Amino acid sequence: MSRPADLVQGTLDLLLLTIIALEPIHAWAISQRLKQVSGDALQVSDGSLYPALHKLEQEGWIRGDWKTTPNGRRAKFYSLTRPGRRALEREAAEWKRLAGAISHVVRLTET
Amino acid sequence: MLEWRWVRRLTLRLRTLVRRDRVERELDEEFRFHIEERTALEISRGLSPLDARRVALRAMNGIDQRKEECRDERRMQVVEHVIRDVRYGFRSLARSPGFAIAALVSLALGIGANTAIFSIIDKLLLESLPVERPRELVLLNPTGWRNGWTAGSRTWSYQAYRGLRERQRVFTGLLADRTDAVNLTVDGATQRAIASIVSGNYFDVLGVRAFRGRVLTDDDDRVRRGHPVVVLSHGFWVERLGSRAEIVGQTVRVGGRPFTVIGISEQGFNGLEVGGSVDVFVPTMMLPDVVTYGEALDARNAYIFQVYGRLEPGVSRQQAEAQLQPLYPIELERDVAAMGGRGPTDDRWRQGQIRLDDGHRGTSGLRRDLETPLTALMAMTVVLLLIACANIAGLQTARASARVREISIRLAMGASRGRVVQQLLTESALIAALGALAGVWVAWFTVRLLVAEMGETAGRLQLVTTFLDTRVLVLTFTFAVATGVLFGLLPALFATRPAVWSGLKTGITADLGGHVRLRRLLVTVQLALSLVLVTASGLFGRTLINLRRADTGFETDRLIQFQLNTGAAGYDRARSEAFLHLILDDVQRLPGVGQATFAVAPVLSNALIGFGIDVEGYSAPGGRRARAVANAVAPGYFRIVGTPLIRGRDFSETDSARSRRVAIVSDAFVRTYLRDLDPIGRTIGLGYGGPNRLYHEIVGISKDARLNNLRDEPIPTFYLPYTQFDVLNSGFVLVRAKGDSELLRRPIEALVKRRDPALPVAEYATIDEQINRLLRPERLVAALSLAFALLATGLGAIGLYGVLAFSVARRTREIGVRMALGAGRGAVLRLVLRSVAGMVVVGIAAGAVLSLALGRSIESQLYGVRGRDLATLGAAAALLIAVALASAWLPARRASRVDPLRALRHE
Repeated sequence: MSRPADLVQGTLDLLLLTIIALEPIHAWAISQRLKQVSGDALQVSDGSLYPALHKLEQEGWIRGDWKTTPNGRRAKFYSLTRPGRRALEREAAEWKRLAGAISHVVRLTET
Repeated sequence: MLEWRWVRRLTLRLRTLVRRDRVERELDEEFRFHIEERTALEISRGLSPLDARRVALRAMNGIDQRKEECRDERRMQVVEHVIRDVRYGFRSLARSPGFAIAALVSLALGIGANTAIFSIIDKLLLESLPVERPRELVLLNPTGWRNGWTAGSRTWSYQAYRGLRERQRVFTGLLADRTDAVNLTVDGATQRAIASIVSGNYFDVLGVRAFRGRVLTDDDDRVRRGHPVVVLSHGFWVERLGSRAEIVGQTVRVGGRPFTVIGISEQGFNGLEVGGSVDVFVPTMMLPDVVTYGEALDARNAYIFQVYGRLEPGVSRQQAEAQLQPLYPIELERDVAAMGGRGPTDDRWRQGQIRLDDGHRGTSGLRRDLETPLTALMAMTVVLLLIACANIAGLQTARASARVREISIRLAMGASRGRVVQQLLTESALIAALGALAGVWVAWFTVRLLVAEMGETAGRLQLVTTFLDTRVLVLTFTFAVATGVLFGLLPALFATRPAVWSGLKTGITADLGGHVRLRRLLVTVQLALSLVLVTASGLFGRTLINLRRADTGFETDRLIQFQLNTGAAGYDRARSEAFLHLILDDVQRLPGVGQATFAVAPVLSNALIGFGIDVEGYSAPGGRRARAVANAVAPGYFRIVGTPLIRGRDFSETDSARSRRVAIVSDAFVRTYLRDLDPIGRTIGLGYGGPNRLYHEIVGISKDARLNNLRDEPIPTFYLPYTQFDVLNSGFVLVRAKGDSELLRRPIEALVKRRDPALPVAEYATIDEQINRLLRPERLVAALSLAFALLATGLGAIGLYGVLAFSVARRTREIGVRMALGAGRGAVLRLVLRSVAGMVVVGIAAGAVLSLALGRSIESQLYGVRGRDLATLGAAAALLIAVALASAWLPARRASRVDPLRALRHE
């Protein structure tokens, strides 16, 4: 699986869920937004996005609906399902806990 | 790992079937959209379209690889879920073995019984003959006038068959077939065998090939007595000859004459009688060599051949019928002409027509006998299956409600409702699959039991080897899974209903009232259906008892009969008579034998011969002739069999072929035809007018006896001295034993063998055995319906116990409060029993209505009891009430022993 090596396991899922939680959005736009918000700090290749999305869809956390884009193209828009929202809350809390702990440890070594 | 690969392949296949196209299309479109957007972006950044596209593609890092990854993700998920669910399902079933066993047993019995009965029905009632394109086969059925020797209603004389075959243009082929018992000698040992005496084109028309050697052709059926060749059936070859390959080309004897075996017919083909089993196929031209009625080939009034036609492709049965019609009068004219002056006096015979009956299932006496009983049994098994389903539904509901807490925790943890339902369904499907497996085993076992019970009448039905055919299996599994899924789905949906689990989240005990109501309903339905089965079983049981007690009109005790087929051994009439006398003398000298006599037709075998007769002093309305059945007997018959003469005299040795023709008639004969007249001295006329009519003077009157079967009321019967009966090619010796009739079999067989080794003793049976054989369908139905009724009642009792135990456990607190407020144990008992009474009263009432409504439809199967028999219904209801109370007893007692203090403190 070609997951970006520098992304912690599960982090990509969290990022995708967070972006999708804002509004229904298609994969191309997700890739653009990912670059935009992370300021190219996170290198997610265009291709590796899709397996992750399909996994989330299969898990029942997001669902894809075919809709028309503002410029008239058909695209698959992903949106969050109820279990997905719960999963997001859980993963986000977990991330915060983990991130807090890590930064705490890191701060310890700095001082 | 093996399991994983299997599951993976299975799901892959499923997806290929169901959604693959859509998933693939969507994947393509999603990727294309992405590439195009990226290309557009790169163009807007200043790249040439070609370069832009190259960049876009490179960014995907291998489109096909990515697509495959997407597919993998989807696959993995499904597979992982299935594996996880199955493992979890096994674990959770193992945690509640009581539930698992109850559900499995319910399903296995329900499915097993259905599969078994359906397999037999399929084989006997539905399945086509194992021939080519069986739907094209029709059986030619002549309606209207016939007079002569008629072997069954849909039969033709050989001459009429030849006439039709030459003139008809609507069939690709027309075959004739007559089945009869012959003596077959292989390696010096003679045995009774079933022969099909067939036209040469038989195998060609049917499209049945040779397993070894070759089959008969028209060239084997041209010259009278000129083709001593036979084909053996595959079944006979395997069962009686041990599959000896070298038999082809060897010589066997049929009816004493040597025949060459030219081949073995195709495996699975046993002739055109379903449930029968032909051993040997003989060309029609050889008829005079293998049976005694060789002249029947020329006799226009020997209606002994069945005629099957294969319709030309594209010709409908109606068209063929219409085109065939003009040919029939030609044959009828010839029949009448052949009778000379003895033909019919009016013109009604001209109204005869040919009907074409559906021939693809062949004919079957077994089918005729068992069609109604099997249909009744099938209906019962369906009811049983419904009860089993209700049980499963009840068990699943109970389980789901017991797991509300577990389920709501899983939902709260973020599992989607779909996932939880999928998990619960996997469990149901697991039970269904295991139940189906157990069901197949039950079915296999049951079919073996049934076929054994049907005994030799089942012939080579070979259900055991073939019933596991794919159709029945697929049907069973489909049904099992459908049952499991349907009855797993409803409780699963209910248990995952937002109202249920959100209630739990807020700490309020979920309202399970709906569950209990559903389960009470299911138990009520079970009780109603059980009552139907128990009542039916009671009716069938009483029928069997009534038939066993039926007055036969003769003494069945220690009476033995066996057949000597002298004709098949090549004896002429004089030799037959002499031989029978010798055997009678020999048998009477055996120690342990009281007396012996002789009759042409066996008793209790539905074998008496029907006649149209003229009775002096009786004129039937509309110029029709009187009908009666007859037997030809030896002097002493009435005394030895135990049917006393009311008036007149018995036959004696002086009643010979040359003396005055005499007859003895039965009481029913007198009541029907000679009510107010003195019968003695009057005459009965046999045959059709003219000089050939034979007049027999009535010299005695016998009591009535049920000689054909136990069910029919005694019908008008007359007896002739066997010396004055026109054919005598086989007969039954009737022996009254002094002691144990079983001990006589070997000595009798030995003494017949001493007189003629080529003449085997056939159909040896005590009359009690014969009665058992006769009552086989009734016994089958009675035994199976009893088994079904017991199963149904047992399942109902389990269901009732389950729902009561559950509701008592749930109401422990309420009961505690009541007791704390002063309710005594009696009051609590009444409280529980009142809730049982509700279900029982409604269930029994509904069941009673249903039983009364259905009673009429089984009336034809009953004897001595009506379909709407209130005594039986009452007894069945009482039994069910007793069972219901017994299964309510434990929960009720537990409720009455509730300790109020503990019950209240518990909350």
